[in-house]
Amino acid sequence: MPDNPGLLGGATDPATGAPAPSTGVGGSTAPVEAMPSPESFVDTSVAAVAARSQGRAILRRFLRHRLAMASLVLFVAILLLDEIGSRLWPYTYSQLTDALNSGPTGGHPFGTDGVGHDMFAQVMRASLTSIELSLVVAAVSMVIGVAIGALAGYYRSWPEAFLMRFTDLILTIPILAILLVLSRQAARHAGSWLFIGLIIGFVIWTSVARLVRGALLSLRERDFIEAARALGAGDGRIILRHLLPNAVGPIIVNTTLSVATAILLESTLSFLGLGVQPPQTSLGLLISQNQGAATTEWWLFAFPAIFLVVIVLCVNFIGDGLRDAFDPRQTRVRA
Amino acid sequence: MLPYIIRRLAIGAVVLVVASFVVFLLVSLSGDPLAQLKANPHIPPAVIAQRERLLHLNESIFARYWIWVSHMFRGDFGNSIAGYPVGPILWGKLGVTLRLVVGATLLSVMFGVGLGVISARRQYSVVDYSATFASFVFFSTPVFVVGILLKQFLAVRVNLAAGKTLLYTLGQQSALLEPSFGSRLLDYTEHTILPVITLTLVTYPAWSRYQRAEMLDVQNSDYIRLARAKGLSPRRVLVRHILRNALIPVVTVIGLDTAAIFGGAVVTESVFGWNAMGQFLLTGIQQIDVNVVLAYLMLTAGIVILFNLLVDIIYGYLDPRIRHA
Repeated sequence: MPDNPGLLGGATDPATGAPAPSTGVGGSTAPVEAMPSPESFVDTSVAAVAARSQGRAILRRFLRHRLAMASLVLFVAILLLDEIGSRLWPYTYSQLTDALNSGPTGGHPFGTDGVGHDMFAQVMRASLTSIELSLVVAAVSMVIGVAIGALAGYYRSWPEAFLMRFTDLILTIPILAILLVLSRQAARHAGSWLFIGLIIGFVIWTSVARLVRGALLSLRERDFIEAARALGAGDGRIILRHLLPNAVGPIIVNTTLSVATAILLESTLSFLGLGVQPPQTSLGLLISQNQGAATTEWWLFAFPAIFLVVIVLCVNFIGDGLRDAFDPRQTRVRA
Repeated sequence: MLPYIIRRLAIGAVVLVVASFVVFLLVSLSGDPLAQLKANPHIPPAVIAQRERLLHLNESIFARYWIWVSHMFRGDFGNSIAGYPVGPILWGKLGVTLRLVVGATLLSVMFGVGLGVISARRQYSVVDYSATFASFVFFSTPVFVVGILLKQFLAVRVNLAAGKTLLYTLGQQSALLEPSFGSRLLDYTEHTILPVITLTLVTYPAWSRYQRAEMLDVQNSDYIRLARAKGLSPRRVLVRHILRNALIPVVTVIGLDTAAIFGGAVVTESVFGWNAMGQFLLTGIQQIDVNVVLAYLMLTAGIVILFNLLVDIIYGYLDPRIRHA
């Protein structure tokens, strides 16, 4: 599981997670940053344990979350299968084999379709596309959401107004309808999956933004921000070094869950014919193409559907585990 | 209360105007609706010029938007690319879609709130774990997969077992309808059951999770302990004290999810081959038919705004602390 420490390490260590500030004044903010968190108070009171950082405590709670860990292992396994397995597998996803409409056999464990596509190769390729696309969505929506949410929470004024009106819009018009209108453009532009990922990201960033705004609204009134300002820290430094690291939990949890949302939205768009376009493939597209075969050539429908549900389920469980790890008191963060 | 309602409606109107302009630009700029016609060598240029004039394609995009706005003020939605008026057709399809949306919303409320309450009352029991697991699975399953599974497996089994078609999987009604009201109602119901279940199964999980969490919050609060200590009957504590308080946040979530239900209805209708608003929107988008797409968006957005207003008013009654100023 090489992904695990990387994912959590960057996430739970706020100091390295935040980019270096550009507008800081002097080096006198050290006492503020060294302010201990509640967790480290508890942990240092145990004599045998050396000062344990908040990041380690969160990581430990996550590692103990059995369902989330099992989901993470399964998710990484699927990703590795898609990434490496598809290179080793004798057939590519677009290759036509001589076996037509074959059920699952030794040579074709997931069977073949009516023109001889190997379903195992297709499912691997399709789930890779779906996962990669959803990671693009998560990245885009996190960057936009954190930026606008931070501006809205810290400065209020027009970023806040923009965020609120955009949120009104998203809550008023079905997201799917907006995406369908936007993806009409993608269908015109040769149907690149990257384009679909970008437009989904540009639409669903509001939930992260509202969380960040909510967190910053209360954090900015706290004394340690006052102290930082008194020590001469500029706005940029306060936002990047003092405010955002304290909001990292909800950001990570929400970004994780947005991966699941993205996969569902992408598959739905592809199912309706306005998402990923052939010759590229995605799980939604495979299911759409094979929906009539669910009872007759069940393998054409079942395997893409199972992969889709399992991937989304894993991501949701991971998100749930992260939420518990970041917030052991089980209080939900409200935007 | 009245100033509050007026202000909310004004905000909603502004959102609608901005949304309509943005969507108008997006759809109009996404291609030429007459491209197919122009690609056909058998169509004389005069015909194309005439169609362009009728669709105002020779005018600037802002002029076209203004023409659309003036149609809206007159209370119609303009004409489609093919030349028929959009309004009357849309109203007919709205009725069909509402059967699905209203049915699924009601069923999801019953399911979501009911399962949430049961789960919370029996926290960490088998019931709780199964309900939680089911919610997670349905929460992670796309609408169309649920629809296809119900259609291909449940419907076929039920119909075979019954010896006749009880659950229809295609269309929103039979092609030939008997005129009597009773038989029509039965026919509508038989066609609507599966789509409603489909949409419900993907809608209720979030609500039941929310309801469960709220119930646990309230159950463990001091005022419930007090209510029990006063010797109130468990039933009265549950209904009057816990449920009433735990329902408040859930009501908001239900309001916020209305737009998502309309979105889910597009997919559900597509799976079950309904000739309703979803299909209207999809063909509108594919044919770059601005008036059709905008008509869909305005109608759904209007319904969502009104419904959310209603939800907020209910909210005020459920929770007297909230004053709509």
